[in-house]
Amino acid sequence: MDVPNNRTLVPDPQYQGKYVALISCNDNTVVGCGKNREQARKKASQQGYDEPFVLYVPVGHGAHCVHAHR
Amino acid sequence: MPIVDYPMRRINPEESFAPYLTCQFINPKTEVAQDDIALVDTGSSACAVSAGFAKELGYNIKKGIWGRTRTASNHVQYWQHTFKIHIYTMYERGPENIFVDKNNIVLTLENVAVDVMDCDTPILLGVRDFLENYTLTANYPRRLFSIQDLRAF
Repeated sequence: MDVPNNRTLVPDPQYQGKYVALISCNDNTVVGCGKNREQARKKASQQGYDEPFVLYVPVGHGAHCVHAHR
Repeated sequence: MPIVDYPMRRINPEESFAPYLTCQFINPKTEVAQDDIALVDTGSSACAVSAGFAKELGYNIKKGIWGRTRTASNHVQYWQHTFKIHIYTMYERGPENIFVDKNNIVLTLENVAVDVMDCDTPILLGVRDFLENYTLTANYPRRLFSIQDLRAF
């Protein structure tokens, strides 16, 4: 059986800064993308995936976040 | 609550491997739930989600407690809301294959005060209501992390 490589969830750089819909949290095939969650979910639904795993793909090293209250 | 030697992941290939958890986020008032991946972030003073994500869970964003916060790039507005968070069990099935077991919840966080941010952001699991209660161990060479309650030791 072909074991998916999903340690890197979204290897294709074209999705950076966008929301993507993956088939599931264990199958990182992209089935939709868009500028917001709703758009990504809608595109996945059009392909027959009604319960995709939707996430935001940070740009570059963008997930290294600091969130500090004043 | 054994989150021990969980595999580090990354979302895009330019990132370093980091401690990400796959979670179910629940609005306790509406019971609406969504799965997403969340970065365990010691640099984040609180847990944080984007406003778009919170809207999908039925939150009336602007009814939360208002504030402003500093992020890595700028200052943004946030509204604080209460979430329930289930963390799913996760393990390696191969060197590049991670399996998330959605039938097995390793930890549930109740009444978490989450900052709903007025910007696009990966979901962050920060210090308040989460990391302040646990010991986080990160083994970057082996790409593994653990989150344990070691207060009794």
